[in-house]
Amino acid sequence: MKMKKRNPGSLAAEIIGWIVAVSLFVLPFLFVAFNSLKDRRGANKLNFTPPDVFHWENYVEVIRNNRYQILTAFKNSAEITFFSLIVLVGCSAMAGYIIQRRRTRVTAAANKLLLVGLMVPVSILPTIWLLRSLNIYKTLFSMVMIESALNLPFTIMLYRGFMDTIPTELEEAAWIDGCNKWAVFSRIIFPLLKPVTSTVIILNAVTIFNDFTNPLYFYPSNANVTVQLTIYNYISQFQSSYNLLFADVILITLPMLLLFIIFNKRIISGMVSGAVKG
Amino acid sequence: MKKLVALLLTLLLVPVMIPAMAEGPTLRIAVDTNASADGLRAVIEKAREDIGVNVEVEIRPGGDEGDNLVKAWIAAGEVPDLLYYNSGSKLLEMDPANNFVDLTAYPHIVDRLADSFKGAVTVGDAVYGVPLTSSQAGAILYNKVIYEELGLEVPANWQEFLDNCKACADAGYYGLIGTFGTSWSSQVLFLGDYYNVVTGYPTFAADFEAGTAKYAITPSAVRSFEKYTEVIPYYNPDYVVATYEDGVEYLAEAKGAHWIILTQALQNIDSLYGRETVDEIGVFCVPADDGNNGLTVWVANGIYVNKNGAHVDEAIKFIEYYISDAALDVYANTLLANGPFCIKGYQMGDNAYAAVAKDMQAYFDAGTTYVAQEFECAIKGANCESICIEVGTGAISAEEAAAIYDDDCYKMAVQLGFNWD
Repeated sequence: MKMKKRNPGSLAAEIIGWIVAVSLFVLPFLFVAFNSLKDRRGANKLNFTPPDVFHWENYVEVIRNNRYQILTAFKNSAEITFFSLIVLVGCSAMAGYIIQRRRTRVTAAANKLLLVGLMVPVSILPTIWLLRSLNIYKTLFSMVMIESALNLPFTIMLYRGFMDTIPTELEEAAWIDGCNKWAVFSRIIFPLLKPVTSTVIILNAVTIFNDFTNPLYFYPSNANVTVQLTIYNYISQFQSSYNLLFADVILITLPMLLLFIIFNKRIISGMVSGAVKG
Repeated sequence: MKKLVALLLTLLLVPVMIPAMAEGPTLRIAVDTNASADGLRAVIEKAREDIGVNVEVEIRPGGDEGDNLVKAWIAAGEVPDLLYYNSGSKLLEMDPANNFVDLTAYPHIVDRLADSFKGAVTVGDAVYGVPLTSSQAGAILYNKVIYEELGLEVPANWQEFLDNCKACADAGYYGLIGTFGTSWSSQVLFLGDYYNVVTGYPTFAADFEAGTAKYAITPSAVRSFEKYTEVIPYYNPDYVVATYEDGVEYLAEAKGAHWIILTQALQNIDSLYGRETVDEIGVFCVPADDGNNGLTVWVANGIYVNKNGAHVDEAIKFIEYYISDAALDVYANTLLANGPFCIKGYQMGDNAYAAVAKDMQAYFDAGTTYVAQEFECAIKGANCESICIEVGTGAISAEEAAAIYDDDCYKMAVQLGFNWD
């Protein structure tokens, strides 16, 4: 690392930053990790102490619980996340491109509609009624559509913001070279959107993978269980098993944690470059 | 790309539809996480062998979230074949006449149900459910080891109970364990005192529903709230924030002497601390001032059959089997009972908890039990927990609490369509 002269103020700020970060992110994680390795009696006390004996079998039990339910849950969550991302990236990139480049009354209206989409919450019963009348209730397709629809406005806004940073000259050059509309988008624009695409993928993957209420209402039944719903197996009014609960939490957090660590840099760059409003 | 996406999504529909056509009828039963499903699962295994009905357990959330989910299912017509839900006042909210099968057409089932339970699942003339679990009581659990050490006796009236609390507190134990951090547990003293309310005013529930009786003007009902203010000095220092899990620890590890809680806690103590510890726990009812004591009983929650389901006949067959002696034996061996079963003529095995077999059974044998208020009266204030916490922390007086609770019940009564004006 390069040595730099620092003034004491920035050093203090950095220390405070570290303290805040550790107490917000590392300590809770440690708390969960510690308690996931205790026996049930120890974990139910919810103390912040390292376990005396490491009960790794908690993890085995969580995986085996309800006939390996957690594996089904991982499969379901992964499917929902994957297909929703395809829909989201495909639709939002195109929509963001058009909305930013074409300034007509239609796109202005679409812009307003996006804001509405951000503000209006999903209502459960009308949605279920709609899904049932379309005969797609309790199907993966409907779940993918719901997750996509809910995250679409925010995603389009990210893309639209990022489009501001792409100079129109590139497209003009492509037109002159004889590209058609489709080729301009797929060969020129979409590759340039890569930074924001990775941001979109990660943010949406985390949201959709960790979604609780929507799968609970719109995708019920044992076969359709998603990862967040498995937590409910371990907590109840009279008998809670916090050791298994925390082991479950660790297991279902891992995939997204890994994704985050690996793509951390890209998220930030995508966010920042999309943030500059033109 | 669009075409590809469309194609992919269409392909996806195929595997979703295949399993639906594959096998014969498997019933779905949805239970919430508050009822331990182990006993149910054991019976289901046995049912597969004995009567050839396949049932699959689906765990749904409990509490408010679960209530919303079940209401959404009902509104959307997606109720599973068998549904586990509260008996008593909350059953009314589910519009049972349109959603659940009336069991009076099956006398061999209805005749098995104990009257206390039957009352809790009866709406109008129709009977809707069979009990999922054993019954339980809202009572005082006490640690017999501490009682022996201090030479205490089970109190015969409320004053003696306070004396016992004081004796334990003086000896360095928590005289009374409070777990207001888990808010539902704060109501148990209020709800568990219902036997005493009724001995003071036998037609209280009926008059209360009619709008003529009020808490604030019924001395035996105000007395329930007064008891909260009288026990405040004996609580554990952290009683406002301590949780249910803490309460289990305090009682089982003999840090505290008494805990006013539902006897379902026994199962939890058993699974955490083992049989020996749980048999050191005894039960007595919330004592009356005049020593005319009786136990307030929570009858079990019910299993209901979805009227509009595709497999009503199999579902009836299953619940009929579920309340047979053979099935109850399987259940009771898997999950020891927190109280007697609500089935006529069923004799529990001799492996029951000491607190259940001796202490609780004595009340049943003597006939000094009464069902909790929520099973005979549709109106229960939505803020009962908060009011109990306020009076239990000394923030308001007992008279104020009774008046506030009356207001709270008024709102509920209006919502349920009672004419209280």
